[in-house]
Amino acid sequence: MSEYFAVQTQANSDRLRRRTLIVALVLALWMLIIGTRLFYLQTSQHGWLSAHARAQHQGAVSTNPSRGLILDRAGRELVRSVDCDSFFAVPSQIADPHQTATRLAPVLEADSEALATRLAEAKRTDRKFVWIARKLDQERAEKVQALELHGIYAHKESKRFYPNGRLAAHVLGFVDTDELGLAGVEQFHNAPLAGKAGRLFIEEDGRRRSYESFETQPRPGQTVVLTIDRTIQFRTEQALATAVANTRARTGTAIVLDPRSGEVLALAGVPAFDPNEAGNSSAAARTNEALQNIYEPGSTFKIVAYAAAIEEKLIQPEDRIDCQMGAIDVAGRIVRDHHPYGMLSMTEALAKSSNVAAIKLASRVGRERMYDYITRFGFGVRTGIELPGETPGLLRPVARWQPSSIASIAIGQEIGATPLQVAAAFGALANDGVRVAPHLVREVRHADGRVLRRTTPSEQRVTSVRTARALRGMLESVTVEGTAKRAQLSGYRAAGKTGTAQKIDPRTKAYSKTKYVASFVGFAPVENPSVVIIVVINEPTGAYYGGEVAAPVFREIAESVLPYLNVAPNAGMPDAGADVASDARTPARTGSATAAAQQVERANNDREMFLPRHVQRTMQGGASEVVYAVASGRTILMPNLFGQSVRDAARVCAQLGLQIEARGEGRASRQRPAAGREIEVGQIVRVNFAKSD
Amino acid sequence: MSRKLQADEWLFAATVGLALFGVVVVYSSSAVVAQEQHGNGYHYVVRQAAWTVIGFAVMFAAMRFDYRRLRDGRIVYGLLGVAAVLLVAVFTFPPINGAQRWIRFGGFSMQPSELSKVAMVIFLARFLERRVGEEGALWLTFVPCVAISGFFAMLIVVEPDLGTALMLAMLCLVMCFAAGVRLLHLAAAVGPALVGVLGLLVLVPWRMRRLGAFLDPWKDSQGAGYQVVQSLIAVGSGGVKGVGFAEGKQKMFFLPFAHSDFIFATIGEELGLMGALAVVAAFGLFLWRGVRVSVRAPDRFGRLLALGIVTMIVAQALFNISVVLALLPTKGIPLPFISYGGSSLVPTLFAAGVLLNISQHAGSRNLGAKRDAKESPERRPRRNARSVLAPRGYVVPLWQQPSTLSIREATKLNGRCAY
Repeated sequence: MSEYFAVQTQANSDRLRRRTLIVALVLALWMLIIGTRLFYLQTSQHGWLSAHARAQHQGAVSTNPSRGLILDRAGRELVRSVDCDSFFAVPSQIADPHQTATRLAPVLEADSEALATRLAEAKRTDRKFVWIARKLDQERAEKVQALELHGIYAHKESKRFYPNGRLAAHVLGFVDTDELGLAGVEQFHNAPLAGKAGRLFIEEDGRRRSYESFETQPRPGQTVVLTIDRTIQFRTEQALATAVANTRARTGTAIVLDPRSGEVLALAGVPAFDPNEAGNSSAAARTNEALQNIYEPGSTFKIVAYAAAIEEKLIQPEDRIDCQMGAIDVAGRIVRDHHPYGMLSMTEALAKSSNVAAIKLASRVGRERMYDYITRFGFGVRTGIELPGETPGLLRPVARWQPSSIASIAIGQEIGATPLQVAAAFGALANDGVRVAPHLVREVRHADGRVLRRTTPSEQRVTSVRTARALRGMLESVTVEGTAKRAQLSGYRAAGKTGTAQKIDPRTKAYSKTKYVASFVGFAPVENPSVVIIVVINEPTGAYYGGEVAAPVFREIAESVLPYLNVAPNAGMPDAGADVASDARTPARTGSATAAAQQVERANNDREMFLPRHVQRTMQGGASEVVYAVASGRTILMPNLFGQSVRDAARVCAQLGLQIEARGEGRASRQRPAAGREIEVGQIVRVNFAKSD
Repeated sequence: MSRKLQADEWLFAATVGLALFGVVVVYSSSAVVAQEQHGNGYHYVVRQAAWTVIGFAVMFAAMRFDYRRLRDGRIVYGLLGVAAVLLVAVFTFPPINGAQRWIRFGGFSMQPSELSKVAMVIFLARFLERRVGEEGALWLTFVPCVAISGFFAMLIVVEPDLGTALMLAMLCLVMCFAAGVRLLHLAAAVGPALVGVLGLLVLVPWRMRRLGAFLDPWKDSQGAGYQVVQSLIAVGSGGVKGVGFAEGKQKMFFLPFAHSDFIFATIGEELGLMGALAVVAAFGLFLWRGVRVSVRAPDRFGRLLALGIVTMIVAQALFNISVVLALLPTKGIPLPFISYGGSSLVPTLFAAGVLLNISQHAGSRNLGAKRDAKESPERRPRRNARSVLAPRGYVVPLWQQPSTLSIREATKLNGRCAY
């Protein structure tokens, strides 16, 4: 029996041992699972889990440097940045989005429902940061502060401030809420102006309190000094705005250019906008027509034919030319002057703006040479001014000219130019035949004042000194005895050329009889011009001749600017410019002269009968204008994008309302449709880009 | 009897090492919270150090106290009674974080549930030893065990502290299983419990949500899944080498309970895979040496007691680590030796002391059957007789019945060594 008990005990003991080992084995297996899990979490899952950890431990805040100043040529502030408060919410700290929104909404003048929804949504999706209001004025910022809402914080941001309001708006451009330049110099020089943002890395604990931080220093924005003179800009804008208002024109453009340096002293556009509230302005008001839109330069373009003819020694200013009693047959079509002239000297022909004479000269120069001079004067290519969205204009290659094109181009049709291009072309004559590329930026300075870059504009000889001087003399006669007597200045000898281009009426598909672009481009003093001034008035009502509408604006600007620039008046000039002015302004007294001038201009504009074929074809689409193509047209000419970067091409296309489909990188190598083809606004344009070595 | 009593060195090293390591890690993981809550970064570590000193004192006392004297009914039932009273007394104290788990006196607080686990282990070891040969008896052995454990578990559940209650239930099952309770009985106890748990999961929506948070914590990383997600981020961001001691970021109020229930996450973050595996390995060492002590213990009480203590400590550690690693749903139980808190540390060190005391007797023949027989000579025949006669008694299955040869051999072996 005792042995049995012993056996029994032994059996129990064995079972206990066995089961103990089973328990131990289970625990050991459990350990193995834990070890595997640890290995998995800390090796293969390490990457993204530690990224997650960093994301919640470390907050990086961009510390935006103060955006650089924009100064005028005399160092006067055109743009500066001011500090203001923005408010953001940390959604997780807001207990009741509804209540918070209800209290905030009246101060922010916002919709409380929408705000509450936004906050609740942010809270739900676990966002760490939501803007509530950006860049509030001080009064409202203080009100928000006073609410002392939990989870709402203020953040100092700098805001762009344009102390002069609308002044030079088209030059300066504007920025968006995040201080990104969206137009003008603000856009073109966004990078140097913006500087480089610093990064503030903040180590935060689970309650969002920072306990440690380190930062990379921001690089402050650089100062951009413009060639613009605030005073000249102001006077130019005033004169232009008055003229546009008086003529009830749609838009107007005026540029004041120093021909010797290529510096743009003023660049004005009407309508303008207030960059402080750019969001409230229309796209039309923000368009810089001085370089973003093209127009047919009309008679002002005649200088190219004259310059070419003189330069090529085909004529002398004293030579006489037969104006064929105001009619000429070009490729089977009759081009007329309104007023029939017989033999005129070259100077007289230019002063009276004879179409026949210009066409005859251009024909003698020849197509290829004309094209050469056109490009030498800077048409068909961008001036390279430091503003975004510049168009190169429209200039078809010779191969695609119609037989009658030479005639049209001679008198400034079938060609699209920007006011800036025309001003620069006249600048070449004013500067003894050397065209200095127009530019807007004098220098870029470091925030501490060190000059980093100074603009050195490219210079190109267009004509000889002799030709330029000869033409200047001829152009002076325009103001003395030609179509622009109203451009005569008191104290200074002025020269220039009028232009009155008809716009194409999309309805009748012909040159409109009511819509004109009146322009005058001139310079003074004649013997050593200090300024070139172009004035373009788009669609004036009532009077529409360049000599009538634009020339007085030139006069007003020039008479204000020249003394301001300390330009010595010409000796022997009648200081009482009022004589001439009143002359011009009261047709009754010099009725015949004015009437004659007007007739000349009118003649130039009666052109329905010889509309170039391509323009007529263009207009089949219903609405085509070469002039201000973008503004109202549905059909436009395909621009030549060859050689442009993707960005530039996209910008041009956006400008024209085309949808670009870009392939590849580098410079545009192929495009469909081809340049110059009529296309519909909104059409898709395929452009291939290739890297060229 | 004459030979010098020698405790298991490995076991001792693992115990002391883990406890000291705990003090260091508690400092690293609690300094920020302590500064925030008490204005003193050393608040918790000083207390933990004090508790460790007390715990070591208790441990050394237990090492010198012959474990067989724990068999005394006065001690066993005294401990159980004290534990029960304290568990009831808990409800007179105001709740902390919605739970009434603590009894406070002076500046200190304790959780009687921790004490009750130790009491339960001792009780079960004694009870099951007394039922030797009758382990198969449902009403005589298993039901009383389950009833008493269940009573304590219920007291703990209503605190509420489901984690500790589950540990208690598991301890009961493991010890009953080891002692030889029929698998059928165990299954009968576990089965309905599982069904009940599943029912609770399906019927109580917030429990279901919590289960969902366990299955995919990232889905609601700011709500129900927050703790698990923060724990995983801590462990995962540690990588192989860890971010460095005291360099962890998760304890900066991201990871809740970084110095108590989730201290292992801090270890994983700061010391990496190396450190975390080292801790697991330390518990592995404890398991190995502890089981070795259990197997070599001179008597049945010692074996059961050792197994219970090892299971109590190691299973709880593994449970805690599994929660941290999102292998198990979140249940707040401390990591033995390491988590902050004296009410966990002192009973654990006491239990470790008892285990070390058993290890001193391990492998000694003299202290085996003879003293066993001497201490309870009158009970054995009755028990054995009943086990033979009683129909509900344990019947040795055929495959477990030792052959004659093996009986002889076993007897011979038994004459030579303790098992």
